[in-house]
Amino acid sequence: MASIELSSAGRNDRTTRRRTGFRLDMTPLVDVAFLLLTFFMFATTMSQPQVMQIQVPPQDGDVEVTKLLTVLVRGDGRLFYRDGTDEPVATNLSEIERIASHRILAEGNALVTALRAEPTASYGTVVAVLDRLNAVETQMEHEFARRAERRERRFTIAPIGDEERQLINDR
Amino acid sequence: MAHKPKRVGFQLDMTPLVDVAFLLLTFFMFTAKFKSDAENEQKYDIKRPVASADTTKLPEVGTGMVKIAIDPDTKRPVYFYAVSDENQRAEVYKLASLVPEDERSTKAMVPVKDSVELGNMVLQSRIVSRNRMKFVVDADRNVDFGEIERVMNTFRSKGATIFNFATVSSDDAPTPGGGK
Repeated sequence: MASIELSSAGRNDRTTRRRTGFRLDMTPLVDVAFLLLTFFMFATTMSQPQVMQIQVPPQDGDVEVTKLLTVLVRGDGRLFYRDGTDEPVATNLSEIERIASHRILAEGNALVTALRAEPTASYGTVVAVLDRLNAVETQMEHEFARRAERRERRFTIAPIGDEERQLINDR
Repeated sequence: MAHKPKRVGFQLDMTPLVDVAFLLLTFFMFTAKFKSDAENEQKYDIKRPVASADTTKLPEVGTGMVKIAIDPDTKRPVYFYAVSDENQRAEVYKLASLVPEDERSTKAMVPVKDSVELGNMVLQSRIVSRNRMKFVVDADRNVDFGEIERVMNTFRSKGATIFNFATVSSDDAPTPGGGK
């Protein structure tokens, strides 16, 4: 390990002092450093982006029926979309992405997108729909910016009405 | 002359190796994320829903988290509320009726009895944090949406109109918290 050496090489005049040398073996230090490094390498979890921001209006406003696109989630996880007051149409996530993009590009900022889910639907499914709609919104922002238009998203999460529940449960 | 075996000597200076090792060590030391108090106390595993489009990170300070886990035995949802800042906890946890009075100041998260109690705690959080508290809903993906709707209505009625859903970017990402 560490040791002190007396080097007596060279002439040892009466005026030359004896030089003491330190020899320090740093192997254990490096070992511990590598151990700590591997520990932290395995223990560090790189943090992932983790939140979806939601904003709700303080009051429940009434939504005009024209220029409305509603996405409905049934209790068993089945998805439907509805143009205005038309009949709900069964669909899936990628279809919703396509339809939402299409409608937003057609109607612009006048379109209100509403998400209504039955209380028995699973939270994971609803978040998946929200996620897809958020992804569409990002694309729309780019598209609107390209057209030099301002994008104003109009979106709401609302409780499902009895009439709608009946409509989607009959299918 | 006989062939003398040539002795090859290696003189390797390992200083740069050790320097890089220490650099990496300090990097990982600073980026290591440690479990918060609330995560340490969490007994239920919450499997967050997947959302790939989210780009904001979960804030570590200044949050009021409503946690909804599913009890693996009873399959019913269990509610907790966690305030991240220690000095704000006392005022808010005073309203937690399910926790005995002497334990209220020691806990990082408290069980919540019902929506009314949650509403009172949310309002108190807003008061204590001077409306700077960020509210987060951290629920298991299999929770019924009706429960989430109830929490959203509670938030809305108590003036917390901006809040967040905690998600994971993909199922491979590590999920914090844990226990059962």
